[in-house]
Amino acid sequence: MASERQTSWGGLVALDMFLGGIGAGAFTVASYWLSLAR
Amino acid sequence: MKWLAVTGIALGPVLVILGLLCLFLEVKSPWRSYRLFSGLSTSWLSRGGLIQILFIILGLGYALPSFWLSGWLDSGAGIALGSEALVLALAIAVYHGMILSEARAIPLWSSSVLPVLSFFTALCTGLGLLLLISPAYVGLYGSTEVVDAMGILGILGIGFIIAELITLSSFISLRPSATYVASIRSIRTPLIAAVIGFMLALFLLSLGLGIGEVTPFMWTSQVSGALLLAGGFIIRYSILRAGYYAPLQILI
Repeated sequence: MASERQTSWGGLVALDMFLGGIGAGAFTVASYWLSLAR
Repeated sequence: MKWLAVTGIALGPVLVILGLLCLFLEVKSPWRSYRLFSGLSTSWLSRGGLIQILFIILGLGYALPSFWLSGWLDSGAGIALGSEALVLALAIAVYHGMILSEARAIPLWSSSVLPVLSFFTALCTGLGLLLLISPAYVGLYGSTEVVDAMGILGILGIGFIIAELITLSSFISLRPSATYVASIRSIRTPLIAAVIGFMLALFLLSLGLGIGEVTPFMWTSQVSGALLLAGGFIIRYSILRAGYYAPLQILI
């Protein structure tokens, strides 16, 4: 049970951090980029 | 290439929603997720949940009207919403490192470098996504505008990759405890693969900037984007796994 829990932890939480990080990064870069064009 | 930037702004909150869905799947009791907000004064998990939900609301409020209101992004209300969402996006980029640093019992995660590494990984992967999808927008603009726009992304990319590599090297070279060193050793191979990917992306972006023509720029941007996304996932996944498994291996 414990090892099953640990295996799951790595994948889904990494995916949450990965997707959330891409979203935050893409938003940051795109809004900075737009501000340069103003 | 305004529409590439608008797509990046719209994809930001959407990807954060998808990330939160993964967390709900992990929790296995989504109907109890309201408890997430019970520890705002003490827990980064609670603060992060609130920050992400506010970012989704403000980010979508900034991005969506731009698809039917032409001057929305440059209006006072648009800039105000966008600035608030930007602060929250920066907080999310750091928060993924802060949440791990709360786990004091796991030496690898309690490293003070981790929030900075998380921040630059977020910037590298976010830029990687924009680079990867950029060829789809080339036909909408003239070659001069494409080269100028991709030049800015290329310069940002070079800066982010150098910052990421410096932070990663600090993270690896720390020696606070034997468990920390063992954890780093257990993820040496994936980290080397990620570093090679980032260095290749650095080379390709520099090559694209040097050539300065649309077609090579598109190729180098797309490949660099894919490398940055792959490298970012490898770094996050390896650090999460090593925090769990390397200390167990020492005990066994």
